[in-house]
Amino acid sequence: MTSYFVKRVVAGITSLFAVSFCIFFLIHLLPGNPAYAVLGGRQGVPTAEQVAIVTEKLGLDRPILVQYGRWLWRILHLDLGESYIQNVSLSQEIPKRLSRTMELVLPALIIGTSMGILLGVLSATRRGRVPDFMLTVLSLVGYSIPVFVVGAGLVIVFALQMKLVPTSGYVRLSTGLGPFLRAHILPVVALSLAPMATTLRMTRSCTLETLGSDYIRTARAKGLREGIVVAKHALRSALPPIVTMIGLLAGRMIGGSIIVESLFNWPGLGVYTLQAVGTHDYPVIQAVALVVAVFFVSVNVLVDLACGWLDPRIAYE
Amino acid sequence: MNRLLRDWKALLALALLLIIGTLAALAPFICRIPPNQMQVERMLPPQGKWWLGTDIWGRDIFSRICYGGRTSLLVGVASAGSGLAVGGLVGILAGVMAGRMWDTLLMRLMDFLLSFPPLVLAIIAVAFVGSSLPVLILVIAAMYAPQFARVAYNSTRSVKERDFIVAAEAIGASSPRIVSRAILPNIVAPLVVQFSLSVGHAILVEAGLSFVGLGPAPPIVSWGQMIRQAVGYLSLGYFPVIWPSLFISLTILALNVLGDALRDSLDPALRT
Repeated sequence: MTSYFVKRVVAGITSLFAVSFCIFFLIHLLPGNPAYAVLGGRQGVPTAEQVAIVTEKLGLDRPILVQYGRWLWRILHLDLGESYIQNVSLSQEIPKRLSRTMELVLPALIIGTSMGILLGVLSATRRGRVPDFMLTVLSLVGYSIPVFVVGAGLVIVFALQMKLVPTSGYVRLSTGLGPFLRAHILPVVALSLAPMATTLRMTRSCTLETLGSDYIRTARAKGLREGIVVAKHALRSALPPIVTMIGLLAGRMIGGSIIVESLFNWPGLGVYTLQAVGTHDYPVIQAVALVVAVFFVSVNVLVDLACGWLDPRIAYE
Repeated sequence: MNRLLRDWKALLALALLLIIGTLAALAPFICRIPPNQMQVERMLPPQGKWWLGTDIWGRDIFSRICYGGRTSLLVGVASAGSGLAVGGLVGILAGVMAGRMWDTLLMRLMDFLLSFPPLVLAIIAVAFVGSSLPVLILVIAAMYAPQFARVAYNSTRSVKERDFIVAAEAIGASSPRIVSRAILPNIVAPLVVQFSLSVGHAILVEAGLSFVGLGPAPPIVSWGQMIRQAVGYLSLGYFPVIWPSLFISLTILALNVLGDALRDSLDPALRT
C-alpha cells in the first residue's frame, strides 16, 4: 500500500512536470516576440530599443531550457508572473478567482456525484420498473442538455418567473448567508446536473453488474438484509470505476464552470480566462492552464489512492 | 440491424435527426428571410411569416435556427469524421504492429489527452490560434482522435488474436489484405458507435465555445451564439433563448439515443 501510494504521487508529480513543460512551450510556439505583446498595450509602435530592453528583461534572449528553468523556479516559489494587461500580480489574482470558482465546482461536484450514486443504486435495485425507467430518462436528458441551456432554464423559472433568486452576479459570504446562498444556488444546480446524470448511469450499470454475481447471492442466502447487501457488498465493489469517473468529471466541471460563470456573470477563474483570451493576455492563460492542471492531476492522484483503498487488488498490482 | 429497426426510441431519434439535417441542408431554399437580416419587428412571438418569432435585432429566428444547424452539424460531423479517419488509422496501425513500446507510448499519450477536460483544451487552443470554422473543426477533431485511436487499437488487438487472422497469415495473405478484408470489417461496429457519440460531444463543445464567445464569428450563425446573444435580454422575452436551446438539446439527445441503440445492436457485449 505504501509503495502504491508513493508510486501514484510520483506519477502525479511527473505528469505535472510534463504538463508544465507543454504549457510553457505553447507560449513559445506563438509567432512573434512576446516582447511586442508586452509593449503592445502601450501607445505607438515600439522602437527596436524598447523591444531589446523588454526582451532582455523577460530573459527571452536566453536558451529555451534556461527560460523554462527560470519560469519553473518562479512557479515553485508560487510566483505566477504578471498579467500583460492589468498591473496585478497573478499570485494574488488567481487564488481569489479560483476560490470563487471552487465555491461553485466543489458543492456541485459533491451534490452531483452523491445524488448520482444514490439514484443510480435506486435505479439498479428497481431494474425494469417505473422508477428505473424515469431515472434512465433523467440521466439521458441530463447529460444531453448543455449546461448553459440548463442554466438559462433555471434563470427563467426561478429568477424571472418566481423571482426567488437573482438572475446573476456574485455575492460574498460577508454580505450575509441568505443572499450568499441565493446567489450560489442556481449556478451550483446548473453545474451539478451533468455529473449527476453521468454518475447515475455509471452507478446503475456497475451496480447491476455486481448484483448479478455469485457472492451477492451468497450474501442474500446468509439472510442479510437487502439494504446491507446492496450498500456493503454490491456498491463497495462497484465503486472503483465510479470513483475513476468522478475524477474525470471533476476536470470536465472546470470546463462547465467557465460556461456557468459566463452565464451568471460570476467573477471567477472562467470569466477571467475568457477576458484573457479576448485580450491575448498569455501569462494569465498560462497561469490558468497550470492551475487547472494542478487541480486535475491532484484529483486524479486522489482518485487512484481512493481506488487502491476501495479495492486492495489495484494497489497490489 | 433488425434489432435497431425495432427500437422505437432509435427510430424516433433518427427521424428527428433527419428533420434537423434537412432543415440545415436545405436552409437556403426553406428560409425566405436571410438569417442576418434585421427588421423593425423585434422580439416578436411566433406568428405569420416569422414561424418562430424574431430576436432582439429583429432577425428571423427560424432562419437562424436552420443556418445555425448547418454550423453545428458541419462541425459535429466534420470533426468526428476527421477524428475517426486519423485516430482510426493510427489505432489500426499501432494494433497491427503492436509491440511493447508502441503499446505503452500510444496508450500513455491517449490517456493523457483523454483525461484533460475537453472544453479547457479547446479554449486554450482557440486562445492561441484564433477561432474560425476550420480551426474549430481541427481542434475538436484533435481532441476526439485519441478516443477513436483507442477504440480502433483495442479492437484490432482483440481481433488479431483470433484464429481466422492466424489462418489468413498462414495461407500467405499480404498485410494490407489482412487489414482491409479481415480486420476492418470486424472493428467497424465499435468505431461507428464511437462516431455517433462523438458527433454529439463535438456539437456540445462547439455550442459551449460559441456560448462563451469563442466560436465562429458572425456572420456565421450557430445555436450557441444565438443563446449567447439572447440570454442578456431574457427579461424582454424567452423565445430567442428557448428555440435554439430546444434544437441543440434535441439534436444531442437524439445522437446519444442513437449511439446507445447502435451500441446495443452492433456490440451486444457492451449492452448495459
